[in-house]
Parts: sequence; structure tokens; C-alpha cells
Amino acid sequence: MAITSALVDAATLVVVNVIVADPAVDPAPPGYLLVRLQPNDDCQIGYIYDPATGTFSPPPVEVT
Amino acid sequence: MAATTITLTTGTTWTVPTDWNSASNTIECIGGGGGGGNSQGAGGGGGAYAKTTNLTLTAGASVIIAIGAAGTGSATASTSGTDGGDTYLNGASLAAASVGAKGGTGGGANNGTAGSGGGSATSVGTTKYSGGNGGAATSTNGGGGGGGAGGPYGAGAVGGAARTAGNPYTGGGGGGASGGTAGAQGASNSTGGVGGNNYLGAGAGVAGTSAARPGGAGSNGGGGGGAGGSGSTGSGGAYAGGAGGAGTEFTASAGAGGGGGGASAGSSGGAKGGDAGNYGGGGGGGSQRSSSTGTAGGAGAQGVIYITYTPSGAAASNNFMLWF
Repeated sequence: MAITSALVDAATLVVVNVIVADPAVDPAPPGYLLVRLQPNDDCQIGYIYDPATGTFSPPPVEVT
Repeated sequence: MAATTITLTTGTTWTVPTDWNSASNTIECIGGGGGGGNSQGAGGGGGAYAKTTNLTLTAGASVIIAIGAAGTGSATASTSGTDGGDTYLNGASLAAASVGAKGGTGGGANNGTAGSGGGSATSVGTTKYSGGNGGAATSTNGGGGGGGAGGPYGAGAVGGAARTAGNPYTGGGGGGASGGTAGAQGASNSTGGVGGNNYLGAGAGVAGTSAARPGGAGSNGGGGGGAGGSGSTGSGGAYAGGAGGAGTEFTASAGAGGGGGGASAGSSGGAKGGDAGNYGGGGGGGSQRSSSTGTAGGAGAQGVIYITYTPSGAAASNNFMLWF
């Protein structure tokens, strides 16, 4: 199975794309973090990355 | 001199070849396909296709690329499939890239919203085609087919909806890729929907029937067949949707993929939606009976970048020959 990684905006920590890449060999583009995903990780585009725990969470729901 | 071809399926950078020819090249991208929904799941959307020609790049330079990942069909009950990633070249994002294709979105769970095909409007290039939308699920049973990926010959086709009339136990067929045809809706309480054909009018996965209930696999970019049901009461088993076919427009094994077929439901519960074909197809929806635990949607297929160019040395060599 291909190794997939989250492409995370380093300033906002928002997941902007999920791509086929391995952080062990592929460099992150300038301004982004590349975080390898495990099969059970719940991560989608728009989720928020927490570098302290290495986990992802859904974006907060806006209350109007 | 023959053209050079390169297929990129992983990585974040690509080094432009030293014989790159900015006056004679094509770069084609297909976005990742969305995963099918779990539990009466809708189909995932197929990835878009985008192409540009004669892109000026510096030989030997390193450019940023992204290969959109496949959306997953969640194994967790009542969970939607995830979105496919975007595929692009020469830019830090899809919007900033020289060429790029949008991924398809995941199919909803529990009769949720069908996945949307990656849109041509948000893709980048001189030729662009959208991926096909996923097929709808039903409120209590079968799964919808996944959408086909956009490709060189046109848009991906929509996946077929799960059967909605009578005893709605059967799944829809996956959509064909690259200008192919739509998957069919589940046809009866025992026969699923046939998959869509590819751009050549072939490759559709056969529908599951009372004689052979799992959906058949598509081929060459055709959609997978929807699974057949177990009769008028749905009292038998549940069956998986057929896999989408891998495309062949680029090479014998690479092109725009068909969508996976939707699963059928039985008294014992649900079955898994069909996985999509490489590259960029959407996954088929999983199925569920009302009181049972749902079953996973099929996985979408990852994206790809396909590059063709005439080596610059060929032009120089030809000029030399002309002088003599």
C-alpha cells in the first residue's frame, strides 16, 4: 500500500492536501509540514494538526 | 528520436530532465478519487483530469509536485468516505501550480450525500475534465457506485444509484472513466446495476445477479458492477460491489480509472463497496440492513502525473541532419 501523508500549512496547521509521499525520503515544500499518516488516522483535508500529540481533529464548527 | 514518457505516482519533488524540451511536451494530471461511504453508503467522486502543453521548465531544476492520495472507505459504521487529494505540478498548491487536477470527495454514510467528482473549474490546465459524481445510496440498504475519473477523452461518468423501488437491496454500478458512460442503477431486487463503459464503449463490469451475486470487475477504465441482492425479501447474504477497471490511456496499465460498484444488502448485514480503478476512480458505497452494522465503502484510487516530451537533443540532431 502506498505511503500517504498530510500536507499541513505550517502557519495555520490546517491540512491542505493528502498526498502519496513518504516524509522519510520526500522533503516538505517550503511553508508546509509533511506528516505521515497511519492506516487508522482520522485525517482529511481541512482538519487541524496538533504537533504536540501528532493527532488530527476536525475543524471547529462555526455557530451562527 | 522517440518521445520520453514519465509516470509519477509518489513524491513531493521532480527533477526536470537535462534533455527537457519546453517546446515539445505534455503534462497530464488525474486527482485522487473519493472513498465510498459506509452503511448505506453513497459512492465517492472520481478525480478530475487536467493537461497542459509545452510548459517551460528549466532542465535540471527541482519542481514541487503532489500526487493526490486515494480517499478511504471507512471501516467505521456510519462514517463517510474521505476525500481524494489534489494532484499538481510546479507550484506549492493546486491553485498556484502550472497544471493540476482536483480530487473527488468522499461518499456520505447512511444515505448521505453522494461524493462529488473533482471539478474542472478548480483544476488548472489548458484541457480539463471533471470526475464523475458518486451514485446515491438508499435509506435502508444498498450502496451507490463510485464515479469514474476524468481522462484524456472526457469527463468521468456518474456512478449508478442503489435500487430505490420495490425491495431496494441491490447496488449501483460504477461510472466509466474518461468520456465513458454512467453506471446503471440497481435493476431489480436481485440484479444490481451494470458498470459504465470506458471511452471505447467497453470494459463495464457485469451486474451481480441471482446466479452470481457479487458485482463483476470493470476493465480498462470501465466501472465495476453493482452487486446483486438475494431475492424479494433480501433474506440471504450481502455481496460486494465489483472493482473499477484500471485505465489504459497512458500506458498498458495506467490511465483514468473506473468507479467501484455499490454493494448489496442481505439479512445478515452489509458488504463492502467495490474499490476504484487506477487512477482516480471513486470507491463504491458499502451496504447495510436497517438493524445491522454497516460495512465499509470501497477505496478510491490515487492520482497520477504523466509526462511526455521530445528530448531536446532530438531537435538539435534533426537540424544537423537537415543541413546536410
